[in-house]
Amino acid sequence: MNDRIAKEKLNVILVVDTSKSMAGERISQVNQAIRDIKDYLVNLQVENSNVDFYLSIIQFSTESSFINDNREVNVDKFKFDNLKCCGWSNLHCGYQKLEEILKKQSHGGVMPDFGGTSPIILLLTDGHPTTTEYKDELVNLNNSPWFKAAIRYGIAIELHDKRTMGVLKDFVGDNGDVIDCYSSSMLKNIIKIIVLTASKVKSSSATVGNGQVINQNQLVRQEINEALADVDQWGW
Amino acid sequence: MNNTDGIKKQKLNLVFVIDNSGSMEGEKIGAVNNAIRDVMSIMPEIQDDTSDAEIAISALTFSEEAKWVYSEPKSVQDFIWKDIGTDGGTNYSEAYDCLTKFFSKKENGGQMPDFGGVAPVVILMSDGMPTSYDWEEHLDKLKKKGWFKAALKYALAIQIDTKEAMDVLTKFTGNSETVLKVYTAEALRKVIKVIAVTTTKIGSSGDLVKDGNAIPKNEMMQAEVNKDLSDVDDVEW
Amino acid sequence: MRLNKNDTFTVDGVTYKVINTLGEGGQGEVYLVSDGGNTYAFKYYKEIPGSDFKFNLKNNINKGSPASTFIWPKKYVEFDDESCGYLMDVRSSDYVSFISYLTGKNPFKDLKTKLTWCIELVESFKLLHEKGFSYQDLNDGSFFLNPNNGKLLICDNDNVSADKTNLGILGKMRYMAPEIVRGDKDRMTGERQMPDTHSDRFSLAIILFLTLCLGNPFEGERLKNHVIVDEKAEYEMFGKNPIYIYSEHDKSNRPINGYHTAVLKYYPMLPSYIKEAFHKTFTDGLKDRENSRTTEIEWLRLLSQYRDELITCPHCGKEYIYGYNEKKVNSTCPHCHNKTKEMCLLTIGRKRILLEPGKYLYTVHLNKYSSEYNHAIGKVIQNKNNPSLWGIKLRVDNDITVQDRNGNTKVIAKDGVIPIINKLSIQFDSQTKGEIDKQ
Repeated sequence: MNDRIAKEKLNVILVVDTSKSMAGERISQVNQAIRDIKDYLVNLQVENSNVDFYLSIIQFSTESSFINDNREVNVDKFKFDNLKCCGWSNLHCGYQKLEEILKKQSHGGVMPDFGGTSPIILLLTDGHPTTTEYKDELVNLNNSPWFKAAIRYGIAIELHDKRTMGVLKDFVGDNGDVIDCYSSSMLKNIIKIIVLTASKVKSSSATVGNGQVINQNQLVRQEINEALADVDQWGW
Repeated sequence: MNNTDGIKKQKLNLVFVIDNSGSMEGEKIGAVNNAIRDVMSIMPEIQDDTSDAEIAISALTFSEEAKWVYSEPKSVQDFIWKDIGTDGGTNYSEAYDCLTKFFSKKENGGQMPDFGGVAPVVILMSDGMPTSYDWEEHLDKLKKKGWFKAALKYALAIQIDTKEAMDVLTKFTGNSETVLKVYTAEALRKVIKVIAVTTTKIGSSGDLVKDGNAIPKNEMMQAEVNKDLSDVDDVEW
Repeated sequence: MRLNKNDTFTVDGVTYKVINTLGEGGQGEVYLVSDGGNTYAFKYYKEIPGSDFKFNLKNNINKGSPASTFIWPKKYVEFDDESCGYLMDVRSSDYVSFISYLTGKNPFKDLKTKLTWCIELVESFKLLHEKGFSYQDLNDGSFFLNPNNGKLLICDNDNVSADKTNLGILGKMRYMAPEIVRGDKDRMTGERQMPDTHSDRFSLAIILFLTLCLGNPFEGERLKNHVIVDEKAEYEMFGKNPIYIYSEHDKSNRPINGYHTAVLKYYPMLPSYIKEAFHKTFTDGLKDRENSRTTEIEWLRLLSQYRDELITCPHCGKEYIYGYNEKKVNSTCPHCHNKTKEMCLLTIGRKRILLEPGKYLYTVHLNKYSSEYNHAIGKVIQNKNNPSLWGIKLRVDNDITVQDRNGNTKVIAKDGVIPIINKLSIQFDSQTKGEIDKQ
């Protein structure tokens, strides 16, 4: 290993609904997206001097777990077996896992004690949570400074009910957007655009233009919006 | 500079004459500020090499009016360059009057010693566009000064592309070869160094300038410098 | 992307065809295009820039590139809808990004090569500044390098403009001079301080520090005050109140053990004069922007001196400084702690060069009025049959006279080889004399 510059840690966290309804094209698009993200981030890791990328994949169905039991892993070492789907959609279990890692390392989480970067968190679901316990868990999550600072995106997969949209909106709060993925064939691209755009912006120092320091999280949202607008024009 | 070792050092006057009129705005004044700073950054080394003479630096800026940056010549350590901005017309006439006074003896209000001394180095930096119509008359007056005649005169042409503008600078130096279009601080160093060498060769005071006339040796030296500087001119950009 | 493969556009009667996409940045899209013979990169701005920006870009094209290291805009392109861009040369694939050097992916072949790159970088900025331009937005993404020969390329030259004229982008935090981050008032205009040669010089020192030490000079202990490094934290560390990690006046921001490992390893090995040049720029130079920032000329002298005094350890093959300019001469390799037995020094005036096979002599060694610090005119070579015999192969136009310790003289015709013998005196030309000293 060659000597290198000290870098901050950027956690990219995907919280994926793997209940029965996700089976088929939906989960297959997610699996492909995760593989592409890994390849992209491995390259971006050596082509940026600010951050190293750590991936965490949380799947939730009846229960919740980290992929390969790894709470986080550097993209270089990331290995992955395709996600499979069955069971219910217990979102609160996913939230519990998220809460578990969104703590400082010294408090049992995976976040650094200093010099971290606000994480990027994606929540993907295609239906309403089976139980309402997620509401209490979200209150807990909102107490985590890491959760508050995180860029949060919700992806609604072919979802046509307002109630579930509300669940996603509560999750992202003021720090992100809910993206409506109305055809599962778009899912892979949407996930990629969000993760890659956010990673690219967050791996660079803030620019100062016209006398103002540009807010990085706002820039992420703006660039993601622009990139997603292009997706719409592809005529899906 | 301390002279406690008892050796009386002669003064080597280095005079920057800087056009900071409105037409110099942008890259031009940037290049000038940078050139002086570059020369200043190797000046301590030049002073070290120049054991026989004490370098004294002056800077005259001119736009609508001409102004000395410091009221009297400063030593290498004390001359601190602060970037200058641009403004107004290009009053060559007043600049030349200031120089005429500068190149007078101390008793006449100038900066030149009453006897002896080393030929000064004068470096004009301009884009060569006077706004004062009578600048040539004022230059003629300046040219009557023995010290100015003896001086090694260079002009740095700052982004000049017309013959008229070039002529303004050539008239100042008296020689088109000493108007430099391309220059580096390292090469300008040679200009100053040559004067220093002249002083060591002459050894004692009083020889270099006699009755206000430069001795031919000085011209030989100038030719040598020009040869080196012309090499710099050949650099491709 | 707005252009597709095989799209064409015509400028000044020449038609360019899009071959493919090269990339996309914050400001624009970059395409590979061909005029049928040569290929170029075409940067196409995403948003239509203001007239000032367009004017400046055209001005830069007219003025021409200050040095071959700049991938300078070559031709301005404007379409009917006023969207625009410019053509430039394509970066050769021998070059890798400066960032990939920082992340350890592409290390330099050796320290000599690293210093050659640094010198090329400083030379380029010297030439840019001599023309009255400033680069303005220096950051880790601006540079490319060839790790095998130390060659440099500088990209993104479209923000280059006259001193104190800014066209929108002030810079990137961590690389910007703090007064530009903070927006201090300009001494002359009373308005917001705009990037100029002085802010360039500060950023240049940061890039040099990053290259030599693999760390940012303002990131140390105080990082611990920030759980999350967002733009507010960056403003605090790099704008509002930057503290140099090796400041003699304020030791509160030293590198963190176990975190800034590379800096802690490399900084102590720097020669003292390089440390001083950084210290001046990063402490006094924080406030005295005009006169306390190490200038290009000073860097060139110091970096060449550093390169001259490098020696390769015969035991581990790594380079280090022998330290004849230090308080204490260092004959022990800091990497493997073995003693170096033999030293061969060439003294020319004030310059001292440790000779060893592969070492170059440059124009500045023989002519102190030269501004060519990276122009090699000689190389130390080994005899093929007897590798313990060394010589200097020079490429100069004149004959060279050498004299050994017994007074025997010999004329070496041009392009000949000067033998490296103890106490050999070398008359390079009428004014330049050197002497070899084996220790």
